[in-house]
Formats: sequence, structure tokens, C-alpha cells
Amino acid sequence: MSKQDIALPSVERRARKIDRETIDSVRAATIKAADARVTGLASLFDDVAAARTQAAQVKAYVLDNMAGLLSQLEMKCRLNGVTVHWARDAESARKVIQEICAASAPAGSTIVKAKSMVSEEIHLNEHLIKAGFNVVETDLGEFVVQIDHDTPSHIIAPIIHKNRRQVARSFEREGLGPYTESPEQLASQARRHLRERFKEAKIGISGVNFAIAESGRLVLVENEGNSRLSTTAPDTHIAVMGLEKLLPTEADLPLFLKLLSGSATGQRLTVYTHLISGPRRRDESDGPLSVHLVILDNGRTKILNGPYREILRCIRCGACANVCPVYRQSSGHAYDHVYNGPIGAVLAPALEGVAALPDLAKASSLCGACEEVCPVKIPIPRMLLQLRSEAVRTGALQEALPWAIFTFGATSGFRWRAGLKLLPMSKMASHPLKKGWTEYREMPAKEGRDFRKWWNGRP
Amino acid sequence: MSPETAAVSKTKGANKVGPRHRVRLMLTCLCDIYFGEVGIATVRVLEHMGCEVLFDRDQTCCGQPPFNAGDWASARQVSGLTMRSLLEAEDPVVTPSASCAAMVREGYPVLYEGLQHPQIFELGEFLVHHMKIKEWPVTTKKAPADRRVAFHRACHGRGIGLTNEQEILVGSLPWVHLVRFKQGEQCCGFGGSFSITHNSISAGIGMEKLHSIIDSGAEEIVSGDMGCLMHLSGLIKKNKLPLKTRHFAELLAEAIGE
Amino acid sequence: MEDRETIFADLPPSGRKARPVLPPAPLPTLTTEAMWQMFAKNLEGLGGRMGRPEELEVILSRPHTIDHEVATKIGRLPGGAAIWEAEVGVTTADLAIAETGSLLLSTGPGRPRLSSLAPIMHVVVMPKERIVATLAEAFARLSDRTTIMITGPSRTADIEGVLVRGVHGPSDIVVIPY
Repeated sequence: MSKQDIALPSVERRARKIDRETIDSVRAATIKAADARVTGLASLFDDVAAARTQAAQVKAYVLDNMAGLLSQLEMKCRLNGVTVHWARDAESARKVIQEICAASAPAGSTIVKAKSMVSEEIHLNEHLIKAGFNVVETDLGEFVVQIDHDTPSHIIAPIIHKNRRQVARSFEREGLGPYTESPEQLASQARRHLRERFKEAKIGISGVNFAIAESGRLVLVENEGNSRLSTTAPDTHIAVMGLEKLLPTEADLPLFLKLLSGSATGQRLTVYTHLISGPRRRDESDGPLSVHLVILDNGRTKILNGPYREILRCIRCGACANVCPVYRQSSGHAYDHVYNGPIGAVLAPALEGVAALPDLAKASSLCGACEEVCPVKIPIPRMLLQLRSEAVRTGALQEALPWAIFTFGATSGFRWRAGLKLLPMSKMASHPLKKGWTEYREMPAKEGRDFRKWWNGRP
Repeated sequence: MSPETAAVSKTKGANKVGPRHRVRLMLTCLCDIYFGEVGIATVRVLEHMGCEVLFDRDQTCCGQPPFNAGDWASARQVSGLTMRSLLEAEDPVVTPSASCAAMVREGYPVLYEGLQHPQIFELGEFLVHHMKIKEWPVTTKKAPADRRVAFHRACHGRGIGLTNEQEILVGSLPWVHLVRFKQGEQCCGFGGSFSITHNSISAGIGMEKLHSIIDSGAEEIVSGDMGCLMHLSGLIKKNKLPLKTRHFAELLAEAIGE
Repeated sequence: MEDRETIFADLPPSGRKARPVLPPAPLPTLTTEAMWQMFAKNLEGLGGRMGRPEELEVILSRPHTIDHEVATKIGRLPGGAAIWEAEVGVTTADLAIAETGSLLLSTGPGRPRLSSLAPIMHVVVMPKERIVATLAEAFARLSDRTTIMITGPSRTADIEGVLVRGVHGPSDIVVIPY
């Protein structure tokens, strides 16, 4: 038997490199958020289970009627004065967004960005910076990530892996103000600094939390106010959305706003719910002069037609990451993808193909906590199993463990009983499997009586 | 049809009058290899409640390990023996493992299209819901010393609707004091082969649970899943922690003097 | 156009099942008084507060912007300081929502979007009839203009989960019904 170790799966490999301080920050933050979710949802709904079932039904309807709803959305947006663009993939999206920016403002102009996962999915910032724009993230956590050349570690709380001392050092380094570890003062420094960016910005770029097909309204939720400022102060607003971020009607909003907020942070509602109808009307005195909506595919139609389509119900609340025991031990960085945690373990390989990301789905003990908290009841464990099966079937993953031997033994009662007798001798052998166990645990030992011997010995 | 093999029932232990349930025991591979006492306790417990227990010696493994790893071809092969005996049986199958019951109830319909409602039950749910036991009878002459117990509920029970059946039974024993501990619903980190392929994460999850349990003042961890117990016990021994681990069937057997 | 065509070519045909209609939320029978009490409790829980018309004199002595409707009501000149210089934004509101302590503000002539966002203090002066109990009722009556629903002062917990108010939006919200 070869003495080679089993090659470590990617999430395990990266998790080993993450330091104690980071893990402790992540653990504290996720426990707090997971607890807040329970009390928050209880204060919002008499019957949380019923609310989740209803939301799952609405999102299932969206997935079953995507073409019709997208057509309706496009028509309504156009009637509202919003220019609609379609992007098949990331490159196409970047191209159209850059063209809008180039047409809206000279090179060197400031673009203010509200937090948007989809913009990170398409690597928008680097592209616009290369095109000569001054792109500034304005969400406090994303701002810190940007000035540190870091990546966000959680879908809704980008810097749960950082503590205040780290943020203080970064702000001092960037000249935002004197060194301070007070979160209030740090936030104040950020407010002052970013206010100037909002004033000078020509373009604001955001995501979309919910696009309402019946009215063409674009709904953005946030707590800080930077998303409102980014989408109100500059003359041009570009909203980028994954094509699945739809709701059929405005009447669906109360349920989804409450579920999103309660599941994400335990708040009843986010501070701001921005219901954007379109650009500044002739009789209005502020607001963007033009609003663009970029609707992105980038693998979503493929997912819609495949076995992982329920993942498109996701409303990006992050509750799954907050309860995931694997996420808690490693943080989002171990997944090395813009979508991390349980949702990412499915969405990332679903978007890019199992061949590209064959082992993310293995970073799970299949405990099912994610499915229990998902506000739209996405069956994540089932899809993780299907991804694993697809990876093995297509040869994308070389299965590390020797199932052939086990299968041989387990397909015959006689061979199995013989194998049971031989097992004690195998204790002597060293094996990569064994090391995987004994690095942190003692080997199990047969304790007490043997069942079959006892059973056969009964009168 | 394969011949019925060694399905001789051993019912001398039954001393209760009442309706007789005939059940087939699914031992589980872990029980077969390491935890014989759990199997023995399970039989004693079922017989004490008036069941006639059948044990097919040709059983091996439910197929969960290769299934979870994504090797469904191997999983179909491994689960073949279990599947055949399930289809043949009219009597329900009872097993001292939530994850094995879950594998058959949730995993087999994925592997075997058209399979519906496989009649297999985890031991605790069988005792509480099918035999309607609310309180476990104590007949032993030597009552064990009082102990503080942290109950760990196996995650795989989630998918098949298990809740607190095992805790009800164990908690009804007069010498058991169930102690709450932080983040009690969290996974132990075993996850089958996950414990080996992602071992530092697995161990981290387990150690966090063990520290919460130690903080609570519990002396013993009781669970219904041998995978969880094997993993936690391995961590406990390596780190020399002051905790014992036992399967809940063993506590029930202890209470009836076995 | 090309991208749109390839996307729609790949979308599966739409289904035929009816759209799920959410069960109507039970309509509570609350008096205006009771709704304002619920609203006040929720607003205070969020870090905002109720105010009285008498306070306006002092509030308006600071550089401020003021919605046309409010200015007319209290007999003041609308407008005021430039938006980025104002310390107070005085606005009206379409509706107050009791169950969450939220305010719905649509934009329009004499109602700039930034008034309720740029200044550090936001004061809402509104007729007391404009209150409903639930979000569902409020959303059944949404203006078709761009609208903001405000639920408390601006906040973040990005730094170690410590709650900080007034990050980019107002840190103070005062609601004065009349």
C-alpha cells in the first residue's frame, strides 16, 4: 500500500491555513446571527414554517414561469423609463456595463458601488478600474475589503473575519483619520470619507434584491444608506441582477422582505427598502437621470434546466452559512469563491460546472441545518449528494476512499462475516484512511461482546 | 427469491403479555464491527417490550458510506442485500441508527426509482410512536448512580422527522439528569467519510461540541448514532477529556437489568 | 438583442399552474390611536422617537431642507439649505406602518429623495390619519413613483457585530404626527 497521503480536498486544505483569530471572529459572528434569526422570525411570524412554505411556493412559481415573468419585467421596466440590457455571460455583462459607463462619464470618474454579489461574480470592479474608472465600494464592510485587497468572507457580512483592530489599522493606513478602535468613530471616518465620493460620483452601480415582474420595480434592501446614496445621487444608476431575482407581484414583497431580514440578521426589516420605479421624472428634483438594468444569465439557464434548479430560489440571506458547522470552522475564505457556505457549495459548481469545482460539495457533513433554516426551503443536502454523484460519475473527482474493497465485502453475507474476522489484523497496517482518522482521534476499538457470537450462542 | 437464512427468532427473553410485534433487526455495519453491545441492548430492549426479533445473518451495510461519497454505483451494489430483505419483509425493520434509517428512507428512493415507504424505523421512534412507550420501565435491582447526561441528537434524524424520542426515553430514567449545553443542535462533525477527508474541520466541529458539553457539567454523552459516538469518543480519548460516551439503547437495557 | 435571444432560447417554456396567492393577512381592527402607540413602541425600539409639533421651531433653526407639503402646512418657505449642507431633512410621509415602525415616502414634486437620507437628522411631519397596521396593507397602496420604506435610523454591525447608527443615512429619526 502506498504511503502517500490522500490529497486534501480544497476546502479542507484552505481551512487548515486560516488562523485562530479569524475562526474565533467567524464563530462568534455566526452564532450571534443564528440566534438572532430565531428570535427575529418568531417576532415576525406566528407560523414561521408556513411563511417558509409560502415563500418556497412563490419562488417555485418564478422558476416555472421564468420566461413569462422576465418578458413582463422587461416590458414594465421599459415603460418606466429603465433601459434593459441582457447579458449571456460575465464577459458580455462587463462589456455592456463598461459601455454604459463610458457613455455616461469621462474616464477617471468616480463610480460608487453598493454591495452586489452578482457584480463580484462577474469580476466587475477590476474590469472598470482597468478601463480607467475610480470604483469605490461604499458598504462599510466591502469598503474595508476593497482597501485591504481582501475578499468578503460571508454573503451578507463581508468582514466577519476581521476584528476592530484590523479595521483600525487599515483606516489609519489609508489616511481616513487618527487610529481608533471605536466602531462608532471608525464608522464616522468612513462616513466622512465616502460622502465625498457620493458627491463626486457620476455613476452608481448596485445589485437587485427583488425585481417585481408586475410593475417593473427594482427593490434594494440595506441598513447603512450607502445603497440609497449610490442609486440616488449620481446621474446614472446601473442595476445588475441575476435573472432569477424575480417576484411576480408587489403583494409578495411583505412576506419576502420579512423573511429576508429576519433570516439574515434577525431584524424585522432592513432599515431601507428602496422601491425604485425608474429615473427622475420631469417634475422631480433629484434622482438619477438614467437607470439601466442588466439582466445576467452566466449559467443560470443551464441550472434552470438541470437537477440543481432549486438553488435559484435563493434570496441571499446567509442564514445557511450562519448555521453551517463547516462554515463556522473555516469561514467563507475556505471556499475560495464569491458564493460560499452551503449555498455556495451548490451554486458555484452549478454555475461553473462540476468539472471546474469538483470537491466543494464534499465540504459538508450533510447535517441538514442549512435546509432547516432556508427561508425558501432549498434542499441543499440533496443537491450536495447529487453534485457528488455527478462528480464521481463523470470522473471529475477521483474518489479518495477504496469503495471497491468495501463493496466486495458488503455484497455477500459470507464475505462480510469473513471480513469481520480479519478486521482486527488490519490494525497493524498503516493506511492513508487511518491517518485521516488518527491525526485527531484515537482509533475505535471493539468494546464489549461481539453481537453475532452472542446471538448464535442464545438458546 | 433467496432462501430465508438464519431467521430463527430468539424470544425466550420476552416476559411481557400483550400484542406481539415481529421486527427484523438491522444491526448496522458499525455495530457489527465495533459496537456489539449496542446490538445486544437493542434486542433486549425490543424483547422486553414484547417483540419477536428476527436477525438475518446475511445483512451487511445499508450503503450509506459510498452513497454519501457520490459513488452511487457502489452504493447500489452494497445496498443490494438490505434492499432485497426489505422488499421481502412484511415485518418492519428496526435499527439503532438514525442515519441508517434515513439512508433507507431517503437514499433508497433515489437509488431505486419507484421505491415507496420502506418500512424501517429508528429504535427510539419505534418505541415511542409504534409501541407508544412514554416512560421507560425500570426493573433492574441495581439502580446505577445518578449522572448528568448531555444528549446529542444525530443530524440524520432531521430528514426523517425524528425529534426527541430518544431523549424522552432516556430522560425518564430516574438516575439520568439531562443537561442542556450551548449550541446543542449542532452537528458533531462526523459526517461519514467527511471525518477523514476533511478531518481538521471535522475535529474542530467535534471539539467545539465537547467543550460546550464539558462547560455544561455533563459527565456522559448519550446519542442514538454510533458514527457520532465513535467520532466523539475518538476525540475524547485523544484529548483525555473527562467524558464517557454511550448509545441510548445501552441505558435502556441497563434499566431492565441487562 | 443577440444575448436576449440566446437566453430566451434556453429558458424552459412557462408552466400552467396558477400563481400562488398568499393568504390575506388577518386585518387587525385597531384605532388610529392604538396604531400610533404600536408604531411609537417599534420606532423607539429601533432608536427613533416620536416628537411634538412644538419642537419644530428649534429643529428648523438648524440648516435644513423641508418638503413642500410640510412647509405649506406650517407656513414656512420650502427648500432651505443645500442638500449636502443641511443638518436636518424635514419631510412628509405617505404612510406610517404600525407593525414595524416603518415609514413610506414616495418621491415627487417638492419631495426630493435625498431629504430623508443626506442630513444627519430626519424629521417626519405627517397627518395622523396616514397610518396602517400592516406591511401588507401598506403595499396594497404603493405609489407608482420611486418610494423608500424607512425602518429606523441608518445602522451597521459590520465591525465585530457592534451596532453603530448613522453610517451613511440619518442617525436620528423623529416622527411628528398632527
